[in-house]
Amino acid sequence: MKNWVKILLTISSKDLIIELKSKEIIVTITLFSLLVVSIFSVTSSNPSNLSAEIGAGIIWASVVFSGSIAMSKFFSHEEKDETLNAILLMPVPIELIFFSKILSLFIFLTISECLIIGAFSIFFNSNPLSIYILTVIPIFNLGFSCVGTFFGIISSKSRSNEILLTLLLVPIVIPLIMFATELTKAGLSGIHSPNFNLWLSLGILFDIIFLVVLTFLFGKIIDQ
Amino acid sequence: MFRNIYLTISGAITLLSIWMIFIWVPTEVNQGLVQRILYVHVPFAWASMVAIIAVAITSLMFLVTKKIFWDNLSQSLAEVGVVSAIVMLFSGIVWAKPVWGVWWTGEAKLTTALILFLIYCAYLVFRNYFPPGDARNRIAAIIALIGAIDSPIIYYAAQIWQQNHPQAVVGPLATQDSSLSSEMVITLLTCVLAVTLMFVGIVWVQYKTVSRKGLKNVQIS
Amino acid sequence: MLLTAKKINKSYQDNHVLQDANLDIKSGDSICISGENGSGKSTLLKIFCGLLRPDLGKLSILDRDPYKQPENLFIKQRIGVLMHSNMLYPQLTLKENLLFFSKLLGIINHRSRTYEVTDELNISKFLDIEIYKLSNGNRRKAGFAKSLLNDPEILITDEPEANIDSDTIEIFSNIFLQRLERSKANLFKSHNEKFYEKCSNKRMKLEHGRLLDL
Repeated sequence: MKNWVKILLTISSKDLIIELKSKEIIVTITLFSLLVVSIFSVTSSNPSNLSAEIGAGIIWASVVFSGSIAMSKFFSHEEKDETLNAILLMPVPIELIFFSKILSLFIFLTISECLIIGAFSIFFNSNPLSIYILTVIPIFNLGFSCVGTFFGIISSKSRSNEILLTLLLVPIVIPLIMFATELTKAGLSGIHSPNFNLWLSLGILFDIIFLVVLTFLFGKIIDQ
Repeated sequence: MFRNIYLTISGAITLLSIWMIFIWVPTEVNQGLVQRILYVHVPFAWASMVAIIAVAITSLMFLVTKKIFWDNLSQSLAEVGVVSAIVMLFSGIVWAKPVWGVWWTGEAKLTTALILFLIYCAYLVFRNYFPPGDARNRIAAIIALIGAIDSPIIYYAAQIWQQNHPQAVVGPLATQDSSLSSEMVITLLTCVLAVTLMFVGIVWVQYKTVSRKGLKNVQIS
Repeated sequence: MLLTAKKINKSYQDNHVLQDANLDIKSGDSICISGENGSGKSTLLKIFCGLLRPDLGKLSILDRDPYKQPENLFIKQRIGVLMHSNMLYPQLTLKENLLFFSKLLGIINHRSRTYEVTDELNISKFLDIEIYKLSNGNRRKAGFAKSLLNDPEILITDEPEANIDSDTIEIFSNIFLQRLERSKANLFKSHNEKFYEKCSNKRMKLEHGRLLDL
């Protein structure tokens, strides 16, 4: 078990070192979402008076789209250099490979969400930081990077992988997006969400179901 | 022979249902003429629902048995199902505007139908983008299964969402429910039968096309 | 027996690449597989190293089933693979790459092993250079170094001599021959006559999906 954790950390820290050198993924996510946030800021007549509903929508729409673009980049590199195959040749259980990619994407998403929230609070003069969004971020990131890893590896083997990944990923994670938006809205408006517990259980349920099912199916998409 | 009999019966029932919709069935009191969209909307909603369940089942069968028959069948079902879903969504939108006063609402069933439609579009796009072969067929089946697993979660999410979002319904149906008279029920059932027969027929033709395409690939390579 | 393959079949769509291919590898074997382009040599090597799964057939490596976890981990720990691509992270330095893979392989003194392998292949001076900055030949050597890290029982290589100058080919073939003295086995595919004449003691030809002795 201890050995497994060590392997997991070895693979993920390797991803982080590559990212620190190339800065490709975090820069892609952050710049893309900054663009989305600034489009809304430029086009709304009074950005500091934005309704909580639209604000939450802006934050998560930009995270979802920039995240899926960055993910397709992440996995298309692995496919081009055949480095995923290199890890598959190593004595590492296949589930651990899946978990290590989830962990790496989880970290990338968290970093860029912090930057997006910072940008949002400056542009729209509001403070989205609340207990709500702090609960949302880990649950959303876990589910999003789990489904993203699965479909990222699938679409990296095909033509136009950016489009394919977004098309596959977004409809599947819609429940998570609804969960994240609803709770962020409650945080932005300061009005307690009446369905807080229901949403929370939905988010956790989504994570558990997809983590279990996709781990089980992961081996089937890998071997050819 | 069988084909001709099938076409004749299916054509006759379709003609009968058209006559029933436009001439025979009485106009509903609350909604007026526009209620007749029901006779298109419900059968196609039924067809697309059947298609989605059938795609999940055939995909599972393909993963278990690895017989190409199931894969071709699930592809043709998905293609016809997506077209039925387009008819369902469009007829629903056109019907909602005069009756509810809005084109679209965040009602749970609507949201779920829309997202499932998007998932199965992605499924078909995937089949076209991925290099053909065993791996593609297997992954396509897996995607269909994931869509099937996701659908109750989507429905659940849409229902929670609906709870604290009051419906923007202001049309004639906002206050009272309408019940169907027996003639309407008969018409609706005839239409469902007509669309089901058409659906099965098109899936059948599409299955032949899809499996013949597979055959053509053999000859080239 | 290090590897036994019985009646391996593999087809892409309906192109039957491998038909009932049989192969036995004993320790001390150095087998070179030849055959026309597209005859399925790379497919065969990919099946043996576990990247592809045959449609039909029985494969056992080191007396274990390569399609069962955790038995396949035992196998993967003891074989070395160099495919057509070098399978290294271009953004990482040679040292980072080799240390990473030797950690995953579970090599205890991974640092000293890394230096040992790079010395052997004469690429120690590139240790701190990123892979993408290296020339094609040096990248190939780096990939070869990776496949030697665990001193594998079976070394499976797909044209190891590609992009390599004649002096280094000499080093490669010496490594191949030294391994045989320690009763390890090599399985490779090559188009370089000088190379395979020198370091193979058994040659096979892949024709119409079958492996034939030469």
